[in-house]
Amino acid sequence: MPGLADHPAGAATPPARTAWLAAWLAACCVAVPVALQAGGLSLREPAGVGRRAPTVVVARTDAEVVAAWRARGYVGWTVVHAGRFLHFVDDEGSRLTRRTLTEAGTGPALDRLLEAAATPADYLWTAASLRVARRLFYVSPPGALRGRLAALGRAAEVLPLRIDAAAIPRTLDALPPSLDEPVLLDVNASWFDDADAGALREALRRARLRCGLVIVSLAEDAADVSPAARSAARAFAASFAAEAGAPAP
Amino acid sequence: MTPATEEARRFATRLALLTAVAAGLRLLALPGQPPLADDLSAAVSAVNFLERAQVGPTMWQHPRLRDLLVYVALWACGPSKLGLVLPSLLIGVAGVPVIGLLARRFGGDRAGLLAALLLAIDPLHVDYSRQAVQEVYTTLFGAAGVLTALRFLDGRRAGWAVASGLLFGLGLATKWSVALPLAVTVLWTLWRAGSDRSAAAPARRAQLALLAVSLLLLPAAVYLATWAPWFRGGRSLVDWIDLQRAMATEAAHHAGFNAADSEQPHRAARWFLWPTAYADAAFGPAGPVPIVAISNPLTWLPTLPAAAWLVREARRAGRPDLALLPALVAATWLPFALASRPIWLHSALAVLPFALAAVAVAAARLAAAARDGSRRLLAYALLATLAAAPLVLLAAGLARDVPGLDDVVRSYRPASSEPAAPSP
Repeated sequence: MPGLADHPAGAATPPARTAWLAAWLAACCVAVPVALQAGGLSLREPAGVGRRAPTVVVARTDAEVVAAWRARGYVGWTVVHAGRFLHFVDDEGSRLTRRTLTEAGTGPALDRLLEAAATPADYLWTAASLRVARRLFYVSPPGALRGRLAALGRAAEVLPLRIDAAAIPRTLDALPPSLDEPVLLDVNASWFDDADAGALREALRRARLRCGLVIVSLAEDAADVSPAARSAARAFAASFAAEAGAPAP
Repeated sequence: MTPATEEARRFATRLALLTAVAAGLRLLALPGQPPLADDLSAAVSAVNFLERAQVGPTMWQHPRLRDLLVYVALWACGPSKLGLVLPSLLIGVAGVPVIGLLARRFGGDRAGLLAALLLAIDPLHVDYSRQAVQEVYTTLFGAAGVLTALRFLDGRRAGWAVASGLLFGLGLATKWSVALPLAVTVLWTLWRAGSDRSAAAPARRAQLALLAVSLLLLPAAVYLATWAPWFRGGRSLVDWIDLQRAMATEAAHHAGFNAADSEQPHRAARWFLWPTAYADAAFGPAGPVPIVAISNPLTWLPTLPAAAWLVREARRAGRPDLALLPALVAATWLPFALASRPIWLHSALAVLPFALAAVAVAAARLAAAARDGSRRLLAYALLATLAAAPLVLLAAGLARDVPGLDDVVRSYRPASSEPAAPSP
């Protein structure tokens, strides 16, 4: 490559150097998506997940689900949630506005506050906001699904249904998705108020999901889940762990 | 010193003076003003993007350059009004000399100085240079991208082509509307470089390759690179494409974020046919601070006649380059004008550099051909400045206590359906 002093300032760049620059620039441009893809994926997946038996955990409350995910350092996962509700009430930043603006760089401190403030209404929104979940698949029991589709004025043919155009992709369906990547499975006790454990187990078996962590939430902080559903959830966790060859929760 | 050098020095001095005036107008009483809800939301979004790899809560459907710049400003200056709006302020002021140089390229020194003046005193540009949202970035990056591409055509120095690609990339990372002037620039530069028979074939091929890489690949790479913090959320390119698709869906149907938005003028087809406005309000300890940006009729309404006249001049004088500004105006404005969804006045900031440059170039060329041309040009500049004075007070939130202007303020209802944002 000729040196910079080879042509006077203000003169046209020589053809050879122009061509070399175009090639070098093109290579740099191609490197950007390659680097971003590699960097993003490197943060996502602990090695070996999906090859070993999943860990099954029972959480007393929905809020504990977020804490359990965060404590294990999950970042950028697909969450498959089985239950009647969406748990995604988005506060559009109002909860964090004042504290966020104290100074830049307070995110990690705020993250702990946000985690502590999770409720049944928003714990999946919290998980998405805290980088645990990058997308959500809702598996809805039949009764709740019918009601939700009716409320949206949609027919069952639209399933799987992408919920809104939004920054966090969320999909609603009657069945779990079949995915190439391991997932975080979140089974909420609310499921068992509408459907039985057998239907869920069969659906999960057919989808052949690879799970990094299975959390069964007893939803003791949710008023709209019955004690019978919580008992069924506890039994589901034990039988699921036994079937998967995982330690008892 | 040669006459040409002396002329260039005089132009530079005057342009610097106009830039200083622009900075003064944009700083007018700014530090004491309470932040707008949008300013605070922009700050929260910046922290959310950089520290949590999330987009939003505000304007999640737009690209994220604003988040990167506002985050740096917050880190440097803290969450004061000035800290929140610092990137817009700097970029807004930088737009003034850039439009001056762009107009000078087509119409000489007078056109350059007039265009810089028109942008310096433009109420909409003043308003959005004082807000943390990204609208004013589109003015700078669109105009600077075109200017540097033209510099490449002038001297065939490779650095200008690369600079153009970088600037357009930053523009795309601001708002997708910058793709419109980029498309015109790509077509124009490829045509001019490809049809240049004075260059040897190998040189021409190398220049075309460089232009293609600089104006197509490089803006895309810069755009993608500004999303780097978002990939830290464990995301892949598939996730990114999915998000771009969701953003496009939202952009195609966006109807504002609150009910008050629908009461604002929102027909882009009227931008250059009738004065139009966008009103907002900041809420501070002393009550609401209404901010009303009204387009200056003396500088906006001549846009279409000026563009038409430049097209005619391009044909008459056999100077196709004179048609470039009208092409940029048309390509950047018409998609907004023809859109079926509401488009608010702040989107016009992407069209503004080309509109004001077209007006300035047409005015300067008409003046050059007329008897008393200099005096007429000066009279136009004075009238435009006089018309701008009250409009700038309205745009800077300083009109509430000015007799006569308080009635104008009252006629624009503050966005009362949006809850008052907390002070930091």
